[in-house]
Amino acid sequence: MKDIAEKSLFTIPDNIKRLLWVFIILGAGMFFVGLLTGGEAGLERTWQAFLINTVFWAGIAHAGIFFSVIWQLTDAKWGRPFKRLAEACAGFLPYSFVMFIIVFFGSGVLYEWTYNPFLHHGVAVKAGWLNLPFFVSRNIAWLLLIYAVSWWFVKTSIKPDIALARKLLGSDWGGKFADKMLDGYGDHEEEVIRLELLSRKIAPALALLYAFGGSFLAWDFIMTLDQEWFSTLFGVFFIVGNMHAFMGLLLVIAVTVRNRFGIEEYITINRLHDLAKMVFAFSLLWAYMGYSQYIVIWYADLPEETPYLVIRSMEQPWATMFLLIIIGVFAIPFLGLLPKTLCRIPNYIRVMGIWVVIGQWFVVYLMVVPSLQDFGHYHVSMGMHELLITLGFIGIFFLSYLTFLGKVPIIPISDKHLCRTWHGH
Amino acid sequence: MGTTAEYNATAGKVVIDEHQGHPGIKATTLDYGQINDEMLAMLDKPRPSYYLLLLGFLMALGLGALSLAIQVDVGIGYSGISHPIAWGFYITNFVFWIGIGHAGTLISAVFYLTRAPWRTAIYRSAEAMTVFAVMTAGLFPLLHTGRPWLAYWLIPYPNERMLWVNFKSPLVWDVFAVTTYMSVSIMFFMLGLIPDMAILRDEAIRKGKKLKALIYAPMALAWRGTNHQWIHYMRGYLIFAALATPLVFSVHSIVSWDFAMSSVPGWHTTIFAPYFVAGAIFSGLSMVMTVLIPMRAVFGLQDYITNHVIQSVSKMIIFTSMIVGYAYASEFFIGYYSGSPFERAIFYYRPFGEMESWTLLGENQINFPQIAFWLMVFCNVIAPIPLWRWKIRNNALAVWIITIFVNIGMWFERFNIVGSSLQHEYDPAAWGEYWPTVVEVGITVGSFGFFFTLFTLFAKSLPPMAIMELKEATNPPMRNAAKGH
Repeated sequence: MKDIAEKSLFTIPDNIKRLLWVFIILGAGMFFVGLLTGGEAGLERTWQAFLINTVFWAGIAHAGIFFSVIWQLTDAKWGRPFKRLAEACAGFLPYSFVMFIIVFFGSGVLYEWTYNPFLHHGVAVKAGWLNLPFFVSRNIAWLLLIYAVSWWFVKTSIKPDIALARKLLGSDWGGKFADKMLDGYGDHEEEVIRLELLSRKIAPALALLYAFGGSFLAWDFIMTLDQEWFSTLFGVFFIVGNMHAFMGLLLVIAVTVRNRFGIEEYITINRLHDLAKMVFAFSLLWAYMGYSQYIVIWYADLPEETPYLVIRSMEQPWATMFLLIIIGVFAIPFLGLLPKTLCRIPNYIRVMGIWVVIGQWFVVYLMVVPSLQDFGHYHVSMGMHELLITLGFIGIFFLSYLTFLGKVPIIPISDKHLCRTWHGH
Repeated sequence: MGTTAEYNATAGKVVIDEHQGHPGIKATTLDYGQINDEMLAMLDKPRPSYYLLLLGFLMALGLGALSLAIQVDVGIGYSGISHPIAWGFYITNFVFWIGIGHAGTLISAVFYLTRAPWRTAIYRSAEAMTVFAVMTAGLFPLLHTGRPWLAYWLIPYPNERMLWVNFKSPLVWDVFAVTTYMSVSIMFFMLGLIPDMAILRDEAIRKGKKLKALIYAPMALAWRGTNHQWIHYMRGYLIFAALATPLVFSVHSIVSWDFAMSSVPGWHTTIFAPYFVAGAIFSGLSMVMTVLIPMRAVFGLQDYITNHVIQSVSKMIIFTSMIVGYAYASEFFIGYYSGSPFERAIFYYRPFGEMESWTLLGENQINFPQIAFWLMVFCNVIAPIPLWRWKIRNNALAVWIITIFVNIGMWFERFNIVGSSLQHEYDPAAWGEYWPTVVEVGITVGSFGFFFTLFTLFAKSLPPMAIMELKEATNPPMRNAAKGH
């Protein structure tokens, strides 16, 4: 345990930090330039790129916390060394909260219901749900609640690790952040038990909150872009997509961390294999959810539901993108992660992870953009707006993620299920 | 007592002990001979109480057979099914029994792949239940066709009648899904039985019981337990597990699409496929517990089906209960959000009945779908809540009572879907009422009789637990001794 604690603390290397800051500045710059110049089209593209990245990166961060919750609930031993890597997503939560707040300012551009509500026989039947004050207030409430509980959960998880690190390496380990975390921390042995039992209580509550809250975020921020369309499965489909994307990202992070910190005896090849199998399984689950949503709507062919799919799967250029997404997010990870030999090559699964993340980004893109364009005038607009704003989000996500990770033990050293070697059981 | 958490100073971490150190079965205390004896003892000549129980189930089955005879003889008009309610108790029963089957495949295949050790003691019985439940379920569509003797028309093959099935119909997909599921389940079940059949065969030969040996020998497929055989066996088992896993999803998804593909309000909704799958696992696991908890008490199997196994199944029941609760909630939310008057009307009708005439005390009598709705919510969402407590999960009797509630709730969930939507479709002039007739109730009772009769016979003729896998799960005696434990 001592070796892990010694290796854990790090500051982000200057060149990476500089790069991430450049990304952030480029992204923020593009955001303001896009809003101020370029007229209506520029405004729309800026906001849509902003929305895509907000829901995408927030979704990844939510899924990260969610996986830690799942490992806590299921007592799964294989996931232990990745627990902290998942929890470090908490670093992004304050920023994602700000991003959602910023989206509210773009709702006039993004959400048609703000100026042209859906009418059924002349009655605005959806106004009870789709009105700006309620939209803003309920989402702020959801987000605050989920983030507060998430932070509470992450805190109960890192506290004993920090305390143990201090016990092993002296009381100045971790500096100010650790001081703050350990404020009011009593006897280690008692606290460890107390926090473990507390964590077992928070975890199910957070899982429920995330399932419901995450669904409402998906329904509110993405589904209402096309205000006529509705689907009960949409929330689940979005959450499964988030989890898939996060697992992909975790593959990348886990392999990188493993090489960089020399913790091969915790993140063993067997565990990386488990992680790769998880990405494989989520490809299948994602495809299953997507298919379940697609075929029901396709078959019934109701006028209020079908356009959403017709636009995406039959109108060019979206039809091509639709096909590429099926190949990219389902077929390639499915076939590519099927052979056992390949799943055990760290650099190979890292590439797969990056591929899945990019694929899932386009899934969100295809959810958002076709809803915002006029019927029959479809075009893929990929340019500076999309590229730079995405880079900006990458910058913020990784800067906050790495900053958080640098302050805590990189592996949950006090965890009850952590063991050094892995016998496959 | 509940969960204990202790700090282990040498390891430097908390040790949580939820199940008194037993990973599924009481691994440390049993030896091979004891497992063999106890398992084979379960197949001994039954006691009179067994025959009494079997008689009860056979009487239920007889009632079902009688009702079935009347139904087939008189025709489908003898049931309460009539326009506009074309699907009544029969389709409800079909969906219910298909759902019951899912737990077996989940436990035997999915938990095998995810290496969940607690499956060992219960998977054989659960798998048998899968086979019997699918057999029970299969009766209902046949019956529902009205002329079951023409059911082979559903099989697509070139024929002199110039008939070709309608591949566009989800009902035909169902035929393929269910038959595939049934054949894979049976094969997987038989495959798992092979090593145990060899034990039974050898035992029968040793005791000179020729008839038994004659039955068991072909099922053992000349099993000798050589390395060579084990290698192929384990490969085959893994492949079957991998094949059966997608079937857990596909079968009930397709059953759900019997409903969701239509444009009937309350049926047509995208969440149906995963919602039905979760519901099927929910009801299946509950049925497994409903059957196995009494069996554990009767045969004294507390060392095998430990409290840890019951707890693990209970946790799965909580999990699937929450998924089902989520699906109910999202249906209501989207029903409201859709803005469609038909969607809103059906989701008002289900809990509260007629919109205009509804009052708190009400002159109108409560209708059947309303009872079904509230039973469904109570039994599926509220009744499993006590399982969150360790103490309740650890109490086999409490779990048993809760799982009975779940079984009732899941039956009524299906009835709620089938009944309410068809009673109130689009045009009020075409609304109708549905009450089952005595034959439908009789056949429903009979289906339970059929299922339990089969299971009761199974429990005395095939080993209800996987003897070989139980042995694998114990600590190897030699190595154990060497470690000095």
